[in-house]
Amino acid sequence: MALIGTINAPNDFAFKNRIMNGAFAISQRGTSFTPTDLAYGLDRWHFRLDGTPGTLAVTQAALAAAELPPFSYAMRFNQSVTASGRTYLRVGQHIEGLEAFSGQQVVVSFYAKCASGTVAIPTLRLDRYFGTGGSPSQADNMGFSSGGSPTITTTWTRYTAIGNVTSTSGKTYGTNNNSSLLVGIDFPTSGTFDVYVTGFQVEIGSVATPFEFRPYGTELTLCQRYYSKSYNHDVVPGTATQVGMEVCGFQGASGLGGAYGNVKFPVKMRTTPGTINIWDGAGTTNTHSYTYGGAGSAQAIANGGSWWGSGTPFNTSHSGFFMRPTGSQPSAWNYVHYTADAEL
Amino acid sequence: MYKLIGYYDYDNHLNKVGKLKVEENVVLRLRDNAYVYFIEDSKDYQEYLKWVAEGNTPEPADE
Repeated sequence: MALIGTINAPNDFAFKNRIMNGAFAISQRGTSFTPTDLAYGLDRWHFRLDGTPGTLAVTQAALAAAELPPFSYAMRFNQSVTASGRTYLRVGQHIEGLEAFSGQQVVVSFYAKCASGTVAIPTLRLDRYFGTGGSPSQADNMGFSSGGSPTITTTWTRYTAIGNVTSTSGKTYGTNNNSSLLVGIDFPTSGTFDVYVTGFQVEIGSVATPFEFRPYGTELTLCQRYYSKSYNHDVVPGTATQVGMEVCGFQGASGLGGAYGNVKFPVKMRTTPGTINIWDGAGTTNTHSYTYGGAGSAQAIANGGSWWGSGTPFNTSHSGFFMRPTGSQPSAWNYVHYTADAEL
Repeated sequence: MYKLIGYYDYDNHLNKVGKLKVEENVVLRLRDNAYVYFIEDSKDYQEYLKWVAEGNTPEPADE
């Protein structure tokens, strides 16, 4: 009986938190963002907004050791100049696979504080997305039965909201395996505010359990299913550096085409990436770097290499892509930096 | 804003062959120089389709 009670107890297991990067430690795209509609910031978190933006900055804020242990980071959402004509301002995360939540009660929990005064959150989000070609085609907000409109204060507080994801029976999922449950926060559409959020967790059940800390490497690997890059973790894509570049072809003889190369992603991505960005080691887009110099010669490194054809990554897949540089020098190894995006 | 991506075929000695061609399944997004692939479930492709549906057209490819 005790065993049954244990294994049936909600959320006493690894990966109980369906949110990735809930502690905001993973920041492959950078640590400071000026949000635009549909853009992504800290890993797995994306923005929705309209209107004239005012001044809005979203950053990965480092927390002092004693501020909210054991959390090291928070997402800071700072609207310092009010927007105009805005009807929504949202940060949220698409949790892949809506079917896992169908007919389930979920509990959303997070820690938050604001820099001054109080900030009334209009609503938290709990939206069903049925995927491309699914029905209904528009997301529907399930709302929350409790805690859906918290007021943030200047003291770190854990907020909890309970909602029900209505059964998807009778609905139609799209055929591209990209249904999702969107969970997030709708911020005020006007005025100024400065809010910090961390420890974001989504569990099936009605009781918020302690935040699940996963190892950094595990959390990063989870995020790389949706976005990956060649740069070191703490280097913003597009930075001028040759550290981490991927080989994308070898040029044997001078003046000949044919230096095919295959770049592999660190983990298989959710799907074939919808976008790929390319840089050379100088931070110039859509070109490549190359080393050259035959046997007995000093190796030199150059940037701004050209391509055979359009220079577009081709044969893209869940695993990687091919490129075809033209080596302007004999015995040239060709390199690129890249980012690949397969977010929902 | 988007731009079509052009290319030429080359012979094995990197001499252009024929006329400019245009990539049919990818376009360049100018705000971040990202290659946007025409993949149905890509949010970025859907954004591109919406932009086109609003009456916009991508810039022509460079020669």
